[in-house]
Amino acid sequence: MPIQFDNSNTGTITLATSATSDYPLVFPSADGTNAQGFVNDGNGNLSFGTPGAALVGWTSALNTAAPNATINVSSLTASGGTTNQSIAIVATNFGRFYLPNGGLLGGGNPGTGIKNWDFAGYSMRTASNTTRGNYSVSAGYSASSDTACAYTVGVGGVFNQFNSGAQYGVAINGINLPRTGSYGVHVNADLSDNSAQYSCIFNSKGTGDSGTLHTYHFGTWGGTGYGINSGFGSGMHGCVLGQTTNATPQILGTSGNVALASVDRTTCWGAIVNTTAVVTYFVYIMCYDYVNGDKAKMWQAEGAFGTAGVGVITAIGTPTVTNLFGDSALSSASVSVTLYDPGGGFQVYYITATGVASTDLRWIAWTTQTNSGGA
Amino acid sequence: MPIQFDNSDTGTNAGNVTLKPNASGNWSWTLPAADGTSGQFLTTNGSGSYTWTTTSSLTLTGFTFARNTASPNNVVNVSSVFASGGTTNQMIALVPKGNGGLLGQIPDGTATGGNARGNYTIDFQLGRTSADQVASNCGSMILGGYANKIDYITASSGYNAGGIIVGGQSNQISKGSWNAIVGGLNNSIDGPATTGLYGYNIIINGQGNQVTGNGFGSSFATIVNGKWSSTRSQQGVIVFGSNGFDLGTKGIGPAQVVVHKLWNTTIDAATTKVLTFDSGAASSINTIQLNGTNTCYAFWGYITSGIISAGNSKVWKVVGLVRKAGTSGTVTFVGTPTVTGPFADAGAASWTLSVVANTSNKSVDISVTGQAATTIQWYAVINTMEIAT
Repeated sequence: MPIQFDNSNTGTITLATSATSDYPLVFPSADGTNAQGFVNDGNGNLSFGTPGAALVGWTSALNTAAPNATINVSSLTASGGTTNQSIAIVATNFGRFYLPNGGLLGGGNPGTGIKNWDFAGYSMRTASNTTRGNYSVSAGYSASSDTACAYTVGVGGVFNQFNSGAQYGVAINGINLPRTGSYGVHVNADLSDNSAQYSCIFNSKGTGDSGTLHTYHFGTWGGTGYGINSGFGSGMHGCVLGQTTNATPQILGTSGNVALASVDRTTCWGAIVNTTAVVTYFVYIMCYDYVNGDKAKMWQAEGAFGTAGVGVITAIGTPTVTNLFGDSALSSASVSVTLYDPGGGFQVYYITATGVASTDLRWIAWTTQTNSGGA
Repeated sequence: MPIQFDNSDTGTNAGNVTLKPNASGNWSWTLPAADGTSGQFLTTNGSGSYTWTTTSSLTLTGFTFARNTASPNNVVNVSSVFASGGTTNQMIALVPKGNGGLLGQIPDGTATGGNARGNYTIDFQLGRTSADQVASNCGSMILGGYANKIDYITASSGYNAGGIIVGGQSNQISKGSWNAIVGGLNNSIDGPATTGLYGYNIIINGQGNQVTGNGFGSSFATIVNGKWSSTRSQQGVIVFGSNGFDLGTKGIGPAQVVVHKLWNTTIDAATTKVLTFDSGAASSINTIQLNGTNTCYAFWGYITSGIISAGNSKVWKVVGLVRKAGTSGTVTFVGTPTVTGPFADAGAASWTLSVVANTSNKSVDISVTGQAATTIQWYAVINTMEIAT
């Protein structure tokens, strides 16, 4: 094949003088397309190829000037389009987003599940310590969710880790270990354990949830213990509810009427674990003719009880139940408080409501409870 | 060094390679001293010196891009972007242009990518059932979760600023400014389509909870967990939800406990003031409201009062039961609320407080009267245990 030289201008082609062996270069048999270059196959055979594509729509930079001198900032800036231009970072199909950033152990395992966000930048990141709940969001040190914990949110703090099926949980800041209770809320707690659905722990230390649904714990110091309803000074607020349509007594529960056989630490209040402990409670109780809207009644109940071990539950002093206000049509309606050991190492107290014949009454009771002791 | 020409192929495939200098004058190409490796390109330094370089992978200043395919990424590969080339610790900035947003998907007008987002939004939600489940409002953010939605809010439908949904499922902010929903399912912050400052609301988790508004109603209100709880258009309340029952036929918020924070100032002994959330004149949104149809509240709480510059003070405790039958019904106390003043300085003996059933505003009012030529601050925390349709 001839090589033609265009001699309209002068020039040279130089092979580096350091070449020590035969050096064949085989040019392509046809021209390439615009912007292509010669690419080698490692044996001197050249073909036309497209070099790394330009980054369309972005401008990259390494920002080293103050205030970024100490910690540089790598930036990707939207460019080249409209005056206002958004940025999209898109995973494919059911992909996820995560920021490994050199995890403490192993540099970071990606989570599983679908379409979740994992911003847990500095993390223990074992294989099971990642964001694995579908559509979950984790951000902070070692924030994570297991595969059964979909739709959870763990933001800030340390070890906000959802375990054992706590769906729809929220953990914000602090050190929280939400457990089995779906819809649980932990805000800025320290080693809190929430196993009850819809229960909340705020700004508490070492506080475990009693296992009772729909309860609230505010700012208590749980001492050295850690576990279900552990430690000195843990306190609780919460509602039980119920309905009566006649004079048959009904036990009020966290999700409405509850049969005695189902009374336990999840459906009623109390719940002390094993060792010596004291509980005080102050309860307001109200019933209302829900249908006609013209009859209501209100009580308060207060008392204290203690445990001296498993299965031992004793009233301290004399509990009181006082009728505060009531329409005369509900004069026969009444309430009582019962201490009860349902077994399993947890002692509880429950509210029994007795209504009025042929009257649809709805009941609600709100407790303020303090615990001292427990394990 | 000789240059060899391979003339072995002289058949029908013969062609020409033309070496042509540019028109400006002398030129010189210096080719590499040895062959390159497979995939390398012959690139110039701009001065006629050519080298073999690897340019098939995208490299950008300050970044390293890769597709990670090794275990544990072999099933779901990971496309990664790493900061590189600068300091030992190095940040990454992703910078939209103008009022653009930062997104996790490309809007496509369908449920897959969703509608276009609002200005200055951050929307990393990755799953939805309809195209409008996106961060539409100016400055709003959806961090994750599924089927969450922040509507575009105009000045005529509330105000137009912000809104945050952090995960959860099917949560929605429809009206008002500076609102937040943190997780949960089917929670909503919703107000009427009327102009007014309405917002500053938070719902923390739970299911089916609602911030409902009426003009300025529910501003600064918070719902903490529970099921089917409602602020009932009351300003500044903190709602502690329970497991609402009979919700199918009786509507939202049948059973809950609410904390009201009310205050006001008196400067004489002639004017009676009602304690309100904003210390303004009592209305249908800033006191303890019996909204709903058939409604019953047990209430209890403490009121503190004192002279700002130190001096006398007095504390009351109130407990009562109030109900209202029907939307336009009379607000009626069951029995007589107890009002006790267990703690007081002698100089505060003339200060008085009463609890009033106000049918006009559908409310329970804490009314106070102070002392002549004396500025007294009054502050109340009242709890209500509510059943309502």
